[in-house]
Amino acid sequence: MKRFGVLLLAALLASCGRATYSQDRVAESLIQLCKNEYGLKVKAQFVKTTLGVMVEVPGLIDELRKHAPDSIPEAPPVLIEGRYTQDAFDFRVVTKGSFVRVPRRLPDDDRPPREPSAPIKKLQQVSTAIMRICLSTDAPVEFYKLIARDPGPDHLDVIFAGHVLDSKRVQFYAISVSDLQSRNEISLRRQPEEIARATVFQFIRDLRTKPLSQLLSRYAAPSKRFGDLMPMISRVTADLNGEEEKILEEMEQWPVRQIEKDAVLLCVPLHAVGDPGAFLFTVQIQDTDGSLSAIDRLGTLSSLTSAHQHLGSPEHWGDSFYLEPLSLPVFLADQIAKRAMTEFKPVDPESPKAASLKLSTADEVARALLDATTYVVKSYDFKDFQEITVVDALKGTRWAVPAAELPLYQRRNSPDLKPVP
Amino acid sequence: MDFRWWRQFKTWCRDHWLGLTIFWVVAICTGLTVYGMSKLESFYRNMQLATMPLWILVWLAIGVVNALVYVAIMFGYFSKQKTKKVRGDQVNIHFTDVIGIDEAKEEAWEVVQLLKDHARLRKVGGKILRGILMQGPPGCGKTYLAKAIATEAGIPFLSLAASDFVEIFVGVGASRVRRLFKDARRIAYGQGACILFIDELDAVGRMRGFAWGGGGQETNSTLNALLVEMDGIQESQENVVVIGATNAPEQVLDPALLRPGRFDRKIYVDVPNLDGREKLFRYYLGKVQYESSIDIPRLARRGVGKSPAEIENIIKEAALIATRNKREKVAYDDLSEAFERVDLGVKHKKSMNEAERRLTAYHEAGHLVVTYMLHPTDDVFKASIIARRGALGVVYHVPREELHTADRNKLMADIKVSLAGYVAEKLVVGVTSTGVAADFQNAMSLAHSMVWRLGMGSKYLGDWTMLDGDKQSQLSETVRSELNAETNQIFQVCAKDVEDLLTRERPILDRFAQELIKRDELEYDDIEAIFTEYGKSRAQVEAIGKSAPPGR
Repeated sequence: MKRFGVLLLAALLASCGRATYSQDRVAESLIQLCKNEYGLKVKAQFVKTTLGVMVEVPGLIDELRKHAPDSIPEAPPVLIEGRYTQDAFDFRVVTKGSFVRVPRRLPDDDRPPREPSAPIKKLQQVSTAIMRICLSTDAPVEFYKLIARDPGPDHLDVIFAGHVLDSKRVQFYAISVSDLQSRNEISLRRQPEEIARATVFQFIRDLRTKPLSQLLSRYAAPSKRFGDLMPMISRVTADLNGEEEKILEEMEQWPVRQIEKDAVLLCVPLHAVGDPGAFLFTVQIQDTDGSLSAIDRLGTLSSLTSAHQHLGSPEHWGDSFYLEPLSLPVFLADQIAKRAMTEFKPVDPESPKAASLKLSTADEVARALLDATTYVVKSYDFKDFQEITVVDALKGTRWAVPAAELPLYQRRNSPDLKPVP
Repeated sequence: MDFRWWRQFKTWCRDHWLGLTIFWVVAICTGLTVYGMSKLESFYRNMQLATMPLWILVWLAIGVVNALVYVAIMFGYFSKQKTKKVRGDQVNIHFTDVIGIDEAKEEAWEVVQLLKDHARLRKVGGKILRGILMQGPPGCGKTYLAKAIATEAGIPFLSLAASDFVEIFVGVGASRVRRLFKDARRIAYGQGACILFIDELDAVGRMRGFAWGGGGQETNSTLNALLVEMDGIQESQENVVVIGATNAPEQVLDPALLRPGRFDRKIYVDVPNLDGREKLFRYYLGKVQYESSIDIPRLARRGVGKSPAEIENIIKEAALIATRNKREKVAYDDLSEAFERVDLGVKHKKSMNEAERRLTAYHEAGHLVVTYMLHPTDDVFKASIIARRGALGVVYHVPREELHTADRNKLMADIKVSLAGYVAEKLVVGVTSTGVAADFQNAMSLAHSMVWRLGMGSKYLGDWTMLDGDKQSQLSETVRSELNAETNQIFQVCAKDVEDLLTRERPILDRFAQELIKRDELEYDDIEAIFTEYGKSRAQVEAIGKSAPPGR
């Protein structure tokens, strides 16, 4: 009986030591899992400590628009941008109108669930797959990022980012599901590839109609001198030889690939004009706009410059995507900003309720930021910061609190928060 | 072909069905668990393993509580009995280990042969013994002998006391008997035979009685169950041999139990004789460190009527005494003191005034002198005026040899010894004390037996006590009165003889009394020395005894 118990224990322990998804195949495991269990085709990457997934979700933006009234009731009265620079958290605050601070309250988890629509269901399936991989791998995954790409005419990406630790906490009921959702980051962006495509499209269209100087001022990236681009623009004009429309017809087939956070490579093949070569455009992305930083002439489609050889043949650029890795301080800064923002509700000054309410000021916003910072750094056990600074963007008021003094502001008789002169 | 292994396997499976079932259930569940866990992703598997120990503890606790409740209710808490099941080879007591009861051993050996050859016996057409009754005084080795039978025959041995059957609830005893025999038959089926040893058989085996109030129904029903199981309507093929042990005489037991077919073999295990005692003393002394000068035959002679348990007790007591006296080896003195402790009890000094002390000394001196000078069979080993077991003094006398009957002379001598204390007090002090009560009781009982039961009176023969019942006597007043008169005459004659002796031997009496007052206790050698001083020796006394007339 004793031996039997020992064998059983050994069997269990032996099986529990091994991670299901090994670290050298974490991205492949995710792709396989989505394909086998959900029948989904996804792209996955693992960069530094971030596991990224890109999936096409047709109809996602329309679906979110339908639920927009629930998820974003009004424009927030307080906008906060959080950053982490030089061992400090920096927050820029922009306030609008009258507002009050309302105690933060997460929605109940026992709400009756709605039947998810197809796009939402797809998202849920991919999220589940990511979670399973993150929890059961020995790769050092700290963050996950889900890029849901809507191929519709809006060309928008919805990005969901989260911390793996929070997912583990939910498993052990340390935090609720609502709390987990509030900690995750959700952002919207225009697809960089589409920005690049639109920029080059417009550029080629404007080649014939606009003078060189206008082309340069419109399309040259601020970092590049006009002198670098001018000969290339001329080359493009010469090589296209008035056949721009033929080239533009094939716009959807142009290979495009994001190589950095704000840089996209776009390859325009010239076979439509009888040339085996192509032009390689490097497009700088800024918000929703793009500008050209480099134009290269390729003899053939696959003869990339040595700088871009590692990207492989442009015909296969569509198989991968660019993943900007997350870092904890940046993630926390965003979370702190978001927490503080959600604590303020707008108040109509004309309404009778406004008279009985104590309206908040930028000071209150700074306080809320300090409270949120205390909670978040404690939750993630983050100590790698020296200071928290808050700047009221409208009035220029600045508050600065050293990290060591942060606990003082959580006490009952906390000191007054005074602006820095 | 020998299917014994198959039957043993079947029996084993039947015995352990619950354990086997639990084992397979656990094994299958464990296998499924391991399989399921291996299919889980590592995070969820680790999560399960992390919480598993806590859940196991919780379930164990719940399981234990449920099991206790279940067992108590379903398996009948009241029916549980304490049976010790021991395999024959585990008992490991061989006939060579049984010492001092050679005659009983011979009979037991015959039983062993019958048990071993039961197959051949069957071929001849004989039937194996059903029951063996071991009778005898307590501590003589009945249980030990039964174990030796089990070991030599190589048969499993179930042992319990008959009193374990009996409960206050009627029917529980009978169900226990049936369960016990069922267990025994099951063992016999697998092993070939089984011995069931019931100690203190008289607890359930007494004659069945029918009381008005219904008392005794439990014992009756238990005995009935035992009778049926041993030899009832249903004949059992399995060889279950019942060995019963009892101290009670046969007349006490129910005749149905003793008839052939039940306890059809009776072995009387008596106290050991001189040889047996000597072997026993050697054996038990061999287990302690003792001085080589100890005269073991002398010990054996002194231990007349002692059972093996008493002999063992004496040796153990002697070892304790030696330890208390800071000796590394047991000496003869330790053994002597151990004998006294066992026979007479522990000393406890009572503070007596001078007069009482003198009275006690003369009382005991009287017993001593009369025993030494008149008793035909006993030797005086000690005289003491230190209180023991409620008596203020004692004269310790032991038969010289084993005697199984007592003649008139001996009985008369016993009466005289008992009366000696009274006579001595009367002679010396003039008034007697309450200390004579026990002596009179003893003397009267002997005298009464002599006349009423043993035909040692002058006129009447026979056992007249049978006719003189508690509730209704069939004796006439005349006969009774005459029998009592004869009893009294014996009394008076003995008292007269003692008075004459003590008057004649007054100096010896006084001397012993003084010695007792001075030293509290006198040993055998001291007593011999004083008698020798007065020209009395043992040989002389014995010669006088032999030449005396047979007794009036």
